Amino acid sequence: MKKSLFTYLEFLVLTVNTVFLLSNNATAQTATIAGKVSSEQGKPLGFASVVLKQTNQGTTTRADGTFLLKDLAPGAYTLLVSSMGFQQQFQDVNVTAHEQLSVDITLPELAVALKEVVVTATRTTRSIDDIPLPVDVVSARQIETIGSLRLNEVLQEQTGLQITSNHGTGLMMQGLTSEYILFLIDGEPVIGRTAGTLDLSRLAVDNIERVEIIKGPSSSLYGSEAMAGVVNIITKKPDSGLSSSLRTRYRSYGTYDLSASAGFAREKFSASLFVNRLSTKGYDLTDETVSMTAPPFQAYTVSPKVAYRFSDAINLSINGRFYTESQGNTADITVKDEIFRMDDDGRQQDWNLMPTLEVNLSDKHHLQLRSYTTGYRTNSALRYQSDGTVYDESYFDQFFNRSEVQYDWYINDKNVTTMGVGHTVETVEATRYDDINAFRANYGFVQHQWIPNEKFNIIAGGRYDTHNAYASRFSPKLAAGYTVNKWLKVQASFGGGYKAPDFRQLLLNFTNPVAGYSVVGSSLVQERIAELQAQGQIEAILIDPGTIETIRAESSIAYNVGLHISPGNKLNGELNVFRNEISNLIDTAPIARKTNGQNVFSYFNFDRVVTQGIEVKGSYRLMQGLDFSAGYQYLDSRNLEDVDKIKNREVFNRDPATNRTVAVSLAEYGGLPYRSRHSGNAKLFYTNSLHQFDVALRAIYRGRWGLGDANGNGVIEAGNEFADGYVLLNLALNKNLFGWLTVEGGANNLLNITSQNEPLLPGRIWYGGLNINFSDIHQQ
Amino acid sequence: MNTRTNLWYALLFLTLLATACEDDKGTTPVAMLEAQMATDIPADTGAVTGDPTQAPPPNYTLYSLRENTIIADADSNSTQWDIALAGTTILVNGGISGPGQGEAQIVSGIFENITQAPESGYVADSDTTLAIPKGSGKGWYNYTGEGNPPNAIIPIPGQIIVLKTADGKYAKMEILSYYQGNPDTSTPVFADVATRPKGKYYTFRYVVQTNGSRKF
Repeated sequence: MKKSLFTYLEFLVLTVNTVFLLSNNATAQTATIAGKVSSEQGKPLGFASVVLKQTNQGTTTRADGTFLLKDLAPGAYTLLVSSMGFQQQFQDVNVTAHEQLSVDITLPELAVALKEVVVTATRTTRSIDDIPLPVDVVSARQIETIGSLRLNEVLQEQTGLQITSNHGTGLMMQGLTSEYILFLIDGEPVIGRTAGTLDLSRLAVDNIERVEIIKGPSSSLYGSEAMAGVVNIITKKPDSGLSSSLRTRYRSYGTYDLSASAGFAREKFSASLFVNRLSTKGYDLTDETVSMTAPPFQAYTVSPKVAYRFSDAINLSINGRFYTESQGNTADITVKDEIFRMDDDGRQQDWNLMPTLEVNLSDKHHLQLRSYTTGYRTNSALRYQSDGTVYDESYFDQFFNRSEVQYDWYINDKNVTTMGVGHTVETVEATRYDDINAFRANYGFVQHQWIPNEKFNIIAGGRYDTHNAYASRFSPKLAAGYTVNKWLKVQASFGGGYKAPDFRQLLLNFTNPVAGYSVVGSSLVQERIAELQAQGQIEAILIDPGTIETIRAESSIAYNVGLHISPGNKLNGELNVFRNEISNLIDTAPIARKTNGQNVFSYFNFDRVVTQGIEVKGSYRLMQGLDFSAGYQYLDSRNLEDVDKIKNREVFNRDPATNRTVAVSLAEYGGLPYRSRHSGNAKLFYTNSLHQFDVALRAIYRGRWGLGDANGNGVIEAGNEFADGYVLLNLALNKNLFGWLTVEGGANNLLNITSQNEPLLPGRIWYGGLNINFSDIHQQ
Repeated sequence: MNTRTNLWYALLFLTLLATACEDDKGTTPVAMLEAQMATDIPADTGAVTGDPTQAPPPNYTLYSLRENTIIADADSNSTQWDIALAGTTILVNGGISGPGQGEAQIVSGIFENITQAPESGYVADSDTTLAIPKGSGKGWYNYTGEGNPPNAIIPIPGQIIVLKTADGKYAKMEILSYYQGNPDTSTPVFADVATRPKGKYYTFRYVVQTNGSRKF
């Protein structure tokens, strides 16, 4: 561990040297350009970018709009000046040796301020204003300001998203859990889920350009899992020229994070490397057990990228990712009435490789060929501490490949058609599965965006999936937006989503070594029950395996209706009302009783579930540099079978103090577990461009949520079946010292909230760190 | 106006009276049987949990609902007892468990509102299944596992055991608590396993219809 840290430091020293060497070469020149950038109204523009087109040398303006470019070779240059919300300007200049040239540049304001772009909603790069769907974008700047280490910390602060802890750090979107959310890195799916949860703490955030969040089903473009929505992580591309950076942070609980990146980009070739190491000593919220709530771990992420532009028409890029994490815990395990202390070690690894070939046949025809390969592996072992012998060992090995062709046809400025076909192969080999199991699927999708005039915007599309293990599916989508006037826009969308049964639900063959119960995937159930019967392990059959149908994909239809208001420049508001109707929800039920008194479980389609709610958010600019924003979500989730039973007065509860039994009313019904009816946030961001610091204060509220049935009536309604809500107060401070060096510090969970029901909250966490940007050193 | 209102009231009164009389004709007025309480009945409190194949056979507490008392172990092969308790297992005196006519089923509802025992659906204890099924969520209780309170046996609300006593009389019973002193299960004292009262002590209320009818 120490050794590898030194290797990183060596690498960094090397990078720094290279950068300085290059700047020393530049000092042989002697011309200087000084200038000032301002708006047409004469307002100085700080943080505008000034780049010499010929050499890619550049700087950013100070808060008063001034800039200085030193050590230039005499000659003719073109200055490229740009600033957010303003039109980019070119200015030709001629500098001679020993001269200080002075230029003033004014930038005209953009008629419509440049808005963020999104790719996830349509699979083509579109302005966020052209997407009539609920879309959120979290920028690199926001991620950097709040000092996040992992993706869960970023998503936790977004309206309408909740972080849950269940077999890893998961997410809840529109009342649906991680199982129903598709996570993408640069458009390709991240694999490796445990009981449906994709652990967000596997994803480092320092190399993220932005995170795009599409709420509502997007199966029409992305197929299975995109039922609640899609989270797409867009990684950074290297800046032109040479750049490198180093960021290091230290947090409470012995958490140490180190990120380093180096990049190089010229006209045709670019390459970059991102490396991250995160380690923590972990924490324990349960003193009575020897196992730690969050065990110590160390994790490494390496992301290399190369791209080559063969011509204006052809571009090849290859992105990769390698991740490895090892953790160590201790556990007390009862074996035959005797308690043994054991080491509980685990390792998880994932990797991916995504080559993409982009071919611009013409301005109007754009072709993309992608072949994505990814793998995920876990190993875990329980070993007796006394002699190191193995008590239990297991592994899980998943492989996924997707080859896809996408064709975008920009017919005219009113019509864009996107279509594609693809093929996927997925295999799983694991202790809990009998053989190597393979899934194969083919799919095709088509989508058309039509913008008939300035007011209307319509997107329609669909996707057809065929699969070797379950029935083919068609997922449609229709979305429309209407601009009522300058400050009001309305939008509505309708879509179908689905979630395919996974390997576990079809093929699992697992018997708990400690408790003795068994779980069998639905494809194996007949065979396995017959086997157990032959072995005399079955006491009674509860459901005849002959009558069990193959499980179907879970599916949903969803509606989203929303509006955007922006009266004036300072206020922005958004409202979205959503409803997801899910059928064929897959869950376990006992099918047979074993002679040891335990059950054999299998997976069934049975429940119908509805999640619906309202999401409101708004932002207001209190003054230059000071922004306030707030968001709130009301969520109603219900299992319709439970609701029917409650309406028929067939569900009872008992007052634990008086022992009186009464029928449960619908008002008491707490819906599905882990969902908070009320959640929200309020944030204050302050940027002082004069003294180069910023402050971000955020309050995150999570209302009370249901834990699960405790009194056996099958629903969540009693007081002790809920966890209390809480407010987290997070503070971040960043101070830029020399342009190339930023110092950061702050605290997450300032109020020191802990909850026995929330293992992700150890209490107050202090942090501090340094952020060094070597490309900035070079510029100054 | 006034006289008219009075007239309406009079009519209303008469109608009510008529309906009431009809009711009286339809059913014999029976005073509701008073529920009896059994408190802290120990159920094999000496047993140690662990591997069931290694453990000694459970020591059942025999209980007579009719007499509201514990019956001596020596009388196990008699019809003096109606139910037998050991841990979370409840036997009824019939089938493989005893010489009586005991059978049972679980009915969903509120204790007071179950005014009549079902006509059919009773089962006796057998080799493959017990009249009152064993297991969390299957019979009378739920095991909370990692929930709140953790690792507790909580009677499922609205699960009423309707049974036949050893001499074939109908009875209904509702188990209220599995812990000594019938504690409030929502308190921190109960949630903490260290301060929680001892388990395997049953508190239940019940009604036996001694006249042989199914009415309670």
